[in-house]
Amino acid sequence: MVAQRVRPLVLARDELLPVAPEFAELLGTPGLRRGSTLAVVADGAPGTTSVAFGLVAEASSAGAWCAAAGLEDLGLVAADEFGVALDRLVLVPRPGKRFPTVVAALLDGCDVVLVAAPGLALADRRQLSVRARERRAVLIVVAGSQAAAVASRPWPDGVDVRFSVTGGVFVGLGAGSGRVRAHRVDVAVTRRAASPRETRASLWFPSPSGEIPSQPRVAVGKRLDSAGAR
Amino acid sequence: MKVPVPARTLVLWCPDWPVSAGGHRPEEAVAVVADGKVVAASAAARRSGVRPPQRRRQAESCCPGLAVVPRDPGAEVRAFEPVVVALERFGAPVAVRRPGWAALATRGPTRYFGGEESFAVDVAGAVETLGESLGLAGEYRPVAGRAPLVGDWWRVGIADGPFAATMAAQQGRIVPRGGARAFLAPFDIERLGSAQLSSLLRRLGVMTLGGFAALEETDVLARFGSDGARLHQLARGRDGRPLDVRARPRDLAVETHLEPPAVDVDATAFVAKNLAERLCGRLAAEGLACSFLGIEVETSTGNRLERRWAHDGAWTPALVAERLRWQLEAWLVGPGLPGGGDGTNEEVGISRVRLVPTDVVADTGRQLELWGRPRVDDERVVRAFARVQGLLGPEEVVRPLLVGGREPAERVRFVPFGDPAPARPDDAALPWPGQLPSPNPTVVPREPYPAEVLDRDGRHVGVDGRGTPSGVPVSVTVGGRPPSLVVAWAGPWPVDEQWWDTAAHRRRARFQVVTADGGGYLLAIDRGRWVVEGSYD
Repeated sequence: MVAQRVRPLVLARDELLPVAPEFAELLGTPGLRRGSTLAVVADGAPGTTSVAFGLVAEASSAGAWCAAAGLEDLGLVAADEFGVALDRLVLVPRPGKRFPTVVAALLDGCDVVLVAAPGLALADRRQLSVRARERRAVLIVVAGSQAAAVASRPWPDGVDVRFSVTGGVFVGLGAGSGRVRAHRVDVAVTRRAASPRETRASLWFPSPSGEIPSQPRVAVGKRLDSAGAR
Repeated sequence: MKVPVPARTLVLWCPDWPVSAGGHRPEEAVAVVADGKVVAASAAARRSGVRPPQRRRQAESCCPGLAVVPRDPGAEVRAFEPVVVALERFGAPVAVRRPGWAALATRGPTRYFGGEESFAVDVAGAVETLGESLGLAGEYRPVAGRAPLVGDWWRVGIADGPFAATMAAQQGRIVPRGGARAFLAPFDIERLGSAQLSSLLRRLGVMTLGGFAALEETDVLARFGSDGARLHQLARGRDGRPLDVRARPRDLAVETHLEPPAVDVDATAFVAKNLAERLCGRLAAEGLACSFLGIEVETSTGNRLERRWAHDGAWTPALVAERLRWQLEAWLVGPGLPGGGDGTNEEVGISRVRLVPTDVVADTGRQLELWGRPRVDDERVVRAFARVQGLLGPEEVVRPLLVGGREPAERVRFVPFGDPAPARPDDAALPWPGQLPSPNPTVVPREPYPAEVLDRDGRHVGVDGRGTPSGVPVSVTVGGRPPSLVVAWAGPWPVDEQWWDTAAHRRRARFQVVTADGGGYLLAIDRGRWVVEGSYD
């Protein structure tokens, strides 16, 4: 009774969406903080989509609603393998001219909103970060390799954590043999309010051995390996 | 087993309705065919030996000059509709199990029409008069020697419960109350409609419904289970199932005219609230619920706009008003209403708003389910997506659904948010040989885009009929980017789909390629052209 009465308005743990431990280490918090804006930017190598899926997988399988706006070509079979719950994922593939309005509306209702960086003007981006903070949603901006030109200065303001994909290696493929079994993505993580400001790490999708877990939808996200962190 | 007393039931049965629905008279030799098999045949064709489910060829050989008509289930339903409406005029709710079979409880109307016999004759007369509009006009005369309840294309019967009444209708008889068991006794055991049960009973020496009915109830239950026990009750003339009557379609739409036409959002807010309350009030008064809400708007220039909204819960006035307001706002504020910009300075406004509930069902308080899971009950989420649907249209906000398929793009279907999704197709779990193993590409273009793959000498790499590449891939050009060197590759993995169908036949060979600039791609070559099916981003 008393505990209920003296309870703070918002508990700290309510403010965090679950995230895979490897990401927690990089984020500096045990989860995705509600109200924050994250950016995943291609910096000379592919892997932004994998990082984005990896970031939301745990939250999604724990029941958070995710939306993706402007990301037309998401590989949804892969999303399922990462552990993203497709029945709580809603796509707005072609938001068109009303992109900012659409993202704002999505932030009102969803826990996590993935947006494609191109197509949003700077002023809109700033406003959307503010909106995310107000609505206690997580905004994840994805600037893939196709958008490299646009992504040169992506989301300068209001980004709390920025993942730059700087390199990567595909494992399992030889000269005319094998198949892609795993993808190592090297990221440089810049945090706005933490020390050290920049961390480098390698993330493995799905795992360094390329083993396919028997229950992919629960296990993939957890099998990330941060060997080589820092 | 306690079974409710069967209600007196009138059944209208149209033998070979698929034939009659096409406007063919019984004396024409006609067979209706679906999937190469006869599903119905006219009386004349039957006399020549045409029987469902013969094969079409066999039917044609027993009846020279047989007209073979493909089945049109839609037309069967449409043609039966006036018949059902005619039955509904008698005041009792009508149950329709399939086109060509309708039943109604006679308890009320019999008294009004002065006895079962005169009621049945009245029904028969009403049905017969419809024959003209169906192109089936015959010479029905209720004369001596011919049962008054048998027409050229229809039969009417009354008995206890729909099962016995159907049998009675086949003979155009009225079976008195309590006489169902005796009436049914001589019929063949197959009439129960369960091939499994009848073949078993036949081997046990039980040939007729009477024989089956004579068995002990407890023995039947022990030997044949509850299904058998139900059929046993039918054979005993105790068909206590209530008729599943159809709800009458009613005009439940509400509309309002706006004078002067509304040109801004504020002007429509009050209208929206008012209309929403009227609609919900009307639905509630009828005890109905709807799963879709159509919003139709007419502009001052006479254009019409229409959009359908889904909601997987109960529509409340607040929800309806909200959707309506968003929709009107989207039309008014958005790209502009059609008909504007024709030089005149007059603004285009909304002059008429109409709400049409569709998929109306009796409100049982049950909520629709989505993917067999609890419905989306988080109103905040629903509102957010509905808002976006108002801006872009319902089909622009989608939920993905995994289905079976070989290509990554084939394995996903999109369902507009809020639409009741089709049950999760079970083919997703089946093995699809040729499906990519995990991990799948994280970027899958909706339409594969072109690529080019060259070997060491700068020649196009092809794959021959045996699945051997013409050279080692050395350089890859993807989309509009500069060519990049191949550092690792694997393939070809041939996929040969639907080789039995010349039109749909597809042969592809897939490759996985990693380029020097760090990209990983899933490429495919189809009829000599390279495309990108996905990339590992």
